[in-house]
Amino acid sequence: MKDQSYTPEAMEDPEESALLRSIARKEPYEAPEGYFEGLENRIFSLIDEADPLSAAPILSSIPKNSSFTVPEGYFEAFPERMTRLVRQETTGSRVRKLWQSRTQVWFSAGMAAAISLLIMYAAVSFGKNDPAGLEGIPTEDLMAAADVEHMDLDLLTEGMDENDLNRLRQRMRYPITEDEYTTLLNHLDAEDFESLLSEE
Amino acid sequence: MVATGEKELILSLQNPLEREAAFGRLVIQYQKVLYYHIRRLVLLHEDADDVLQNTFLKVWRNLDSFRGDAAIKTWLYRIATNEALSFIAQKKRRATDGIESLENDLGHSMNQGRDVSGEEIQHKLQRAVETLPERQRLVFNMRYYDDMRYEEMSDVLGVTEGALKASYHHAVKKIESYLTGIHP
Repeated sequence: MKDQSYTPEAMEDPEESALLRSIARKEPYEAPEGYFEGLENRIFSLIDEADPLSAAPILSSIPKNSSFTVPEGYFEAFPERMTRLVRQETTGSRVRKLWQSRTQVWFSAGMAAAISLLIMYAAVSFGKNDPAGLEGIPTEDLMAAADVEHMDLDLLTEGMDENDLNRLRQRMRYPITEDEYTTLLNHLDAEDFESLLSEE
Repeated sequence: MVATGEKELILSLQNPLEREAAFGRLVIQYQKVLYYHIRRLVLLHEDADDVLQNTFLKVWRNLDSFRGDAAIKTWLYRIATNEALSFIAQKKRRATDGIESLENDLGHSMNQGRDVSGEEIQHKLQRAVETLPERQRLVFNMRYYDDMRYEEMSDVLGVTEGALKASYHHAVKKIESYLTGIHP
């Protein structure tokens, strides 16, 4: 005869389920106090003690030689090769630094030239048709013009073509100190403006 | 703890006037152990040579960032391991992209014996190691060949000691059954 107690019907018996539900779900077994603390470490220390090689007789019997061959003289030559490489690297990095500092100077010059050019346009916009008359503009005004945040680019760049505008806008992102500006402005002339705009 | 000799080496590496000479000493001291660590992962000498060179170049470029908190060996192993794994990943990518055939490449390394010297049993062991998944192979090599402590390995690989122990056990078991299967 078929045992009815394990049929799906019996398991779904609402009375039995209610009976089971009435029993508190409590683990009937208890582990000794502190058993789980450090269990992981205890297991791993057992693994550690039981060196897996002891259960691997074939592997253990193989001598731990390095089985890879290396071209003759490789390790004798390698340190020298590395020294050469790092020397090249150091020289290369010095050249790069020099190049970067030169670029920076060029960029500062470019920036000042761009600002001066803007001032020139500003002068034209304000009705001062003679760029030479810029000398009459107070230093504060020049510095204000150098302050990108407060400059009215639309007004200052009126009449410039799109390419020139883009180049200038690009250059305006780079900061220039007041000293740099003053120094460079004293050394730049109209040719610098031309070369600035002809440079990429 | 950093040993006295190592401390001196670190100080020299951080001193621009002594840096190059100290770097030379560092290369001499660690080139072999790193070479074999890399070689066991990338298999071919040419590849190991490239990776070793890149490892030491990276070390040179990052000397300033090495504060000496960790042992030099751990730092070097970490860089070498990363370089080797990146190299393998790149190689796999190239193979997937069809630039190289990975099967040909692996076949080349297996069939040519990868300049493996010694007895036939060494060849068999190498083949067994090569059947392991990449990470397991790495753990096996560091523990079995380099006798590295789990603690050190954990510092290099950033994996818990427990996981490393388990991984090493699996690796040894797999290798033993591989050797048992083909061992005469």
